[in-house]
Amino acid sequence: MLENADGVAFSDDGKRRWQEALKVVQLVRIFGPDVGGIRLKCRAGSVRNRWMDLVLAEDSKSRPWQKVNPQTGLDRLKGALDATATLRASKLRYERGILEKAHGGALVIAMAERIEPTMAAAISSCMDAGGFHSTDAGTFCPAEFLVIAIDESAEENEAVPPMLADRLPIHLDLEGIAWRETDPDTDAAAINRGGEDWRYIDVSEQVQRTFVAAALLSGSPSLRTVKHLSDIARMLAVIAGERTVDRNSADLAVRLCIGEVSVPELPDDLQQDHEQPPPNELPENEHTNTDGENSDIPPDIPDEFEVLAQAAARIDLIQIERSLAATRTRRRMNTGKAGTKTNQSKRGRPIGHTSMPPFSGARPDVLATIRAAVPWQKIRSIGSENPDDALRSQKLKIRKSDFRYKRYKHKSATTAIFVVDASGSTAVERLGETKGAIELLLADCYVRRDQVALLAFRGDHAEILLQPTRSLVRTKRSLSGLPGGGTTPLASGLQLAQTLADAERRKGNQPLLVFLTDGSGNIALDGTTGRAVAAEEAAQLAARIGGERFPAVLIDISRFGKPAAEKLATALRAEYLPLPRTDAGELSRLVSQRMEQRA
Amino acid sequence: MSPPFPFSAIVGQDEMKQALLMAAVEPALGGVLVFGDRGTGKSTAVRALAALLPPMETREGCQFNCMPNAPADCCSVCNPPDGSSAPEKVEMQTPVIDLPLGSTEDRVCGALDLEKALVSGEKAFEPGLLARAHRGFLYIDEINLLEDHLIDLLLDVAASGVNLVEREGLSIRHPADFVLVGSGNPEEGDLRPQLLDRFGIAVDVTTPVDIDERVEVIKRRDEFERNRKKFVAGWEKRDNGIQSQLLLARKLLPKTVFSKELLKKIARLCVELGADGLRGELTLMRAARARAALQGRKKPTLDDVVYVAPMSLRHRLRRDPLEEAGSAARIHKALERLGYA
Repeated sequence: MLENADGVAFSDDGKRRWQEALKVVQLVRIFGPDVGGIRLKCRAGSVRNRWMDLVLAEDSKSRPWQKVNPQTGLDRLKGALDATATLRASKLRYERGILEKAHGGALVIAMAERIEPTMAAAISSCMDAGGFHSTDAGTFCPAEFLVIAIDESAEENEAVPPMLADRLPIHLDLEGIAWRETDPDTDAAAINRGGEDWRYIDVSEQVQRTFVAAALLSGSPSLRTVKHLSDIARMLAVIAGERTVDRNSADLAVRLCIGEVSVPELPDDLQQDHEQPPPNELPENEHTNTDGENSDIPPDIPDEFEVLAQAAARIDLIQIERSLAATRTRRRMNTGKAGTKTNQSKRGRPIGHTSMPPFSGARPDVLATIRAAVPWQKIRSIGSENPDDALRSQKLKIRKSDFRYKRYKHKSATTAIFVVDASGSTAVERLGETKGAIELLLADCYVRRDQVALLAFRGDHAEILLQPTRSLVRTKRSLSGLPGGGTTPLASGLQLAQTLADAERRKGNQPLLVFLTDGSGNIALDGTTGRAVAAEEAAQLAARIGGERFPAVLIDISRFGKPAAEKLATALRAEYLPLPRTDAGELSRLVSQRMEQRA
Repeated sequence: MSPPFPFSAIVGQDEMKQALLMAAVEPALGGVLVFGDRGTGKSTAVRALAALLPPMETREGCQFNCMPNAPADCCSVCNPPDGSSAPEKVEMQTPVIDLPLGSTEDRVCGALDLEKALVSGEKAFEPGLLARAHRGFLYIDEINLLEDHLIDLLLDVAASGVNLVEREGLSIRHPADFVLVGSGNPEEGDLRPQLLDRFGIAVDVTTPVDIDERVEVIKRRDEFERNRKKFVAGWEKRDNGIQSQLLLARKLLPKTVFSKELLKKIARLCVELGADGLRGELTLMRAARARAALQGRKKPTLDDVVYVAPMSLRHRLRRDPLEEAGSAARIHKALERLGYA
């Protein structure tokens, strides 16, 4: 691994990844919107700028591109009301929507990990149908464009909304590529459109099966991924001048669409006794690639495709599906939302109109205002016979009482985070009762739009057993089979609790911490035993959590009420509740009450 | 717009296809919910079915999809005010209306026609999406993300068949008979139980685990995209077969007869499963009837009931959070216990 002067490691395959990025540029230049979409994972910087310049370097008339961000209003996508033109002409006039203007070119989504589901849905359905129904006449307006979603997510739970990400074939990660590895020189000559020919390139059955295996192994349940692999591979074949999809194109397609795919080591009993086709029966390409463009790819890449192909022949896919289903739940992505919740939200889903501005500086909703004013026009024109009346000259007589403002609401829910001491002999029962309490709580959570999460600490570390959710389906999957017993790493538990609560707060949810512990830990953060150190660390962390003022409840599970637990509760600024025997019904009732109080 | 993917060309997904056909035959079933992962062909199936249905008659320029012989009262196109004759009859495809996620209530139900009001000061009604969906399908993707009050409104209209608009000085009602189809991924958030219960039938779709089936799906999609007309023409015969099946089923439906024994068995099943309310039984009855009609029979049998039981009941069972088995498994167990399956 190369390192620069500050000790930051650069990937030694940065050059290779940049070459792949240039390949994507080539794809876009030749095939345009047919490529579908690109999810670009890269934070702002000169590398990203360089790549974006190359991709969008076209003459803007032939390839128009439009930029949207999470704050862009939905109505601007399809064509917002043109207020001035409407008022001037006394007829409804609409602007040309962003989607329409992007037809034939590209739609760039900045900060794609923060867009609301409504915008993701609007763009997705436009991509599916190849257009949209315009607001005024309801006529179908064609809009086919390449979507470039710029993903700047830093946290594990921030991601581009899955609905949209599923429809973007190419996933390109430019993180960690050094500036000096980026080479601006590309084949500028290939600008002519490739046309529809790529659809007629053949994909052999075996290659197709390998794509299916690759998609499954990457953890993506959607069949779209397979389609993407197939399409991109064919386009790459056209560039390489091949008549069928050969191993190079297929391999590159897998790397561009999925990335590195690891074939899991499956135990022997899962490998079926198939007739294994020996490696040299896989589609061998007779044409040697002397085409200059393909020499960009260094030849010493491990032949992942070969590995995948063999895996596809041997492994029973149903077993993979089952074993991956367990890991899939842990990889759930939330749409990222930042900012604390306010009642006067400036963004989010619109929930109606009010006549008073919801926050200072709010702009009125023109359409709703006109709607409110319209029924009064006749009366007002009769009323103002007075020649001094300024309103008489107005075509559309609007009064102050007509003004309407949009109110927004972005989800602010309470997330109850259970922090459970899973050590010691009574742990299994306690965990079981907590699990029961959570499942009972979920019934209430549907109604209130709240969420529940569970983390447990035992042995030498803490672990998130259930990510914040209100879905019973997910809960059952995540909580089947809970471990228990051993030593108590209280400090780790507190640390993880704080991280999770912070994340929830940043998403705009209100966390409610529920601790189930007896207040005594005997394992320090680094895993060593030692009550004194453990107690000190726990006290420090508790004070930190208390300082953040998260609403919290500490349930003392010790038999006679330990002073340690009370001390911990004070440090955490948590409500102290002794409950020697954890009972699912009682626990869920307690927590539910407190969640309701915060609603 | 180019022709959609043919219904009979959809690989697998038999339960979902049957559910949609049943909903098209028996509108009283009330709404279909399709739960499943992304990319499982949910919206493809709905569009394909609508294209499969025979074209319907309406008048040119009518925005309410009125039937020519029985137009809606508020439709000014079909009821010309000055006594002149109504416009020509035309044929149109069964509409499939997509409900966009950010829809506002006035866009869905209809509202004051601003243009007319601004220009001539007259009060006129501009129909919304519900009017355009009349006699067709209303498809809502990601229904669990839709506002609760909108889902409420839609379920109300779907149940009563009439859209009543009272706002901005208007009081309009027009027929809104459509099949409501909602799809979603339960892992991203469930629907509230009260809303779930008002949907007639619910099906689960999963991506096929069989690798051959997956390859076949991609292959057909490829062929379709290469040459749409040719592909559609290739499957036309089978689609026509389904169409005649559907039309025959619609004729048979009013003539179906239930035996008392079968009704008792239906009731016993619902009691055994502890389904809340009577909607379970009613749905089972209607679904079994639709199934029998689709198969060309006038008498529903126990087999029909067994087939439709999961889709009619899986979303109505009170969830016992401490029980491990999913709803479909519980239904099968109950059927076995009673000796029906």
